[in-house]
Amino acid sequence: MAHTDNQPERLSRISVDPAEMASFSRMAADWWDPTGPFKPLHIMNGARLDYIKQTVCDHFGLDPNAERPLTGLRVLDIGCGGGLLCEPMVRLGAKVTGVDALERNLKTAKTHAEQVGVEIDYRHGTIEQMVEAGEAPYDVVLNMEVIEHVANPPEFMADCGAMVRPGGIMLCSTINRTLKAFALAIVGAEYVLRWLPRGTHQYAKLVKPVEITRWMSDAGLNITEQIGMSLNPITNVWTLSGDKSINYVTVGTKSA
Amino acid sequence: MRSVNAGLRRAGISETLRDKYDPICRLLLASKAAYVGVMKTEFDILIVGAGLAGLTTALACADSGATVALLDRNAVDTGSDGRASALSTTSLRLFENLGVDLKGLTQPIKDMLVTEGAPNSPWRLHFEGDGDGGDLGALVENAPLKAALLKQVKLQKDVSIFAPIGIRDVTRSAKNVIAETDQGSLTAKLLIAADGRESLLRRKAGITTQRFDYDSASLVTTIKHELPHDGSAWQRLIPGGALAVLPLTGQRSQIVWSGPTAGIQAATAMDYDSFVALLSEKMDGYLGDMSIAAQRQCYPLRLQMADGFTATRLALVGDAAHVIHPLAGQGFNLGIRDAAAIADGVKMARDTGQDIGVASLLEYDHWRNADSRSLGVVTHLISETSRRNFGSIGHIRRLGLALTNRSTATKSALVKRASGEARELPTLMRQR
Repeated sequence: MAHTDNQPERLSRISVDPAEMASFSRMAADWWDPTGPFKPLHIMNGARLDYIKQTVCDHFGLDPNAERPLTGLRVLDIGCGGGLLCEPMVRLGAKVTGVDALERNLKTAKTHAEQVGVEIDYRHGTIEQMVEAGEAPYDVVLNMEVIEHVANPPEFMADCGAMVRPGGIMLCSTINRTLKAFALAIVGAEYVLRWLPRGTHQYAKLVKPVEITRWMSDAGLNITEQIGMSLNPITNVWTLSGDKSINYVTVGTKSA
Repeated sequence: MRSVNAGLRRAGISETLRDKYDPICRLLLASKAAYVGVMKTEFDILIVGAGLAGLTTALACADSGATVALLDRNAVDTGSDGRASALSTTSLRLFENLGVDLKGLTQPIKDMLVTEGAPNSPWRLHFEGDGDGGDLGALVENAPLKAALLKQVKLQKDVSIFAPIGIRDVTRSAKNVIAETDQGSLTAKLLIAADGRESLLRRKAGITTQRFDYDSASLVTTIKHELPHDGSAWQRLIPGGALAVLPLTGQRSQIVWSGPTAGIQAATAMDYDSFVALLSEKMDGYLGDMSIAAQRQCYPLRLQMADGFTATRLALVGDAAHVIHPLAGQGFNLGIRDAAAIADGVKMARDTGQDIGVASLLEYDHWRNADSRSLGVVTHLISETSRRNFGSIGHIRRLGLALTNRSTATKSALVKRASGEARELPTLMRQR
């Protein structure tokens, strides 16, 4: 069953026609403008990247203070969008594949990566298509802010899990299905602050921590951590906390 | 050959290698093109303006692990700046953390007195330090401060100084920053404008400013005096302005005399004896006999605030971002906090693999805006009330001084605000 309503026909590598370059370059400027339409992601990026780096380093016994600590690791970013996670992962040393069902996003990401001179393997398609194509599984799978948008979360998670190699790790972040999350992440961010386009998130599709835990376990992952992330609206600083009532991250590893 | 050696130093070629290959190098570097070929041209950060703010920012960014090119149209010298800065305790801590040696240059402020009239006037506001001068900060003269900063900058292997250098154009794009100079082009991820209150980079970026000229000026000079100042700073509110007597090292004090421009200009141009007589009269015998130890300099007073502190791959720091009324001696402290804040952004961006020219700006813009706007408004209000000596505002001010003097809570809040302890601080301003 398709995970998204707009599933591409097949998995393909992304290339950008020079004729389209100008328009994707404009979209890249939007994605990468820290005060632009994707501001909430930029604000969150420092905190979540730091958490990803620390967690991955802990898991593989790497030194997080090294210049390029993730050197030698293959990373898959599912639902990579404009590449806000992919590019930093490359700078931290990883070899990165980004997959997204929206061709527009990928062409934007590809254009930007070329502009700033970062090499990323961008794929147009779904995680299901990657599994079907028999792609080699990855050391690290990033499943960030995606599952609340897919049509069939348990199957989607099973496919994501299949892309984690034995001994590998997955990080999954999403928004909890609570009234607080509804008030802040939907009413606040979409209607009051207009940080996100209306309709970005639907309440019924938000996911509770127990559901994530069950789906990840069913996908063959051992849950090692589940932690909340909260934003201080005054200082615009994200911090990790025990409060999972809005945003939270779940970490799962696969036995070697 | 001097510039060639400087180029080799920048290129990281050691003393001995340089001597050994000197003749070859001479030949190689015969043309400017070859010279540029040797020098490093790619950096994380380009800083334009090697004044106090630019030098401090260069040190702070290097401390965050970034490679820095520091550019200035003029040669970097310690200049003829006769002013002193009142450094807050957190500013002093930043210099300590960055290894800047201020030994023998600082005069701790042990107490601070604001009066209307003579020092023993009942209309007074009195602050006391912690005995060590710790709470109230210290006075440092700008010229030796700049020399100390420059010395420390030159020790950084990751900071290259290009000065004097002709800058033809600086372009910023989604990709990078490119500076076209008369020594070739330099590229970076982030551009920092530390080019002063008339900042060309700010204007080129289309960032407008809010500006308020006070029709006032400050006369700055240094006096030597008969009696010891015991580390006391005294500010006397006088008709239309204020006279600040700030303790410097030794038996010396800095005079900052603010008032309507015409009067201040006249006092600056006055002959020596008349000036000494006038100043002595204003000081009511405080510190005893005096002589003038430095040229009198006149500075216009202005409040100027940029409407934004960042643009694509650009951050404004120091006077390019904000010029505040010098009444509270806070101007350079704000520049130092800019440096510390951008350094935090740079470190975060580097640690998380993000683009330095993008990620570091978000945090910087957010809290620098709030910070300097609030301080600017406060000093502006104080200044406005002190300009109006007669009438109701004068009485309110007097009452305010007396009441504030009794309220320990208000005073300690004021001291905290002035010393930069009031909100969460950037890393470099905290105890390491």
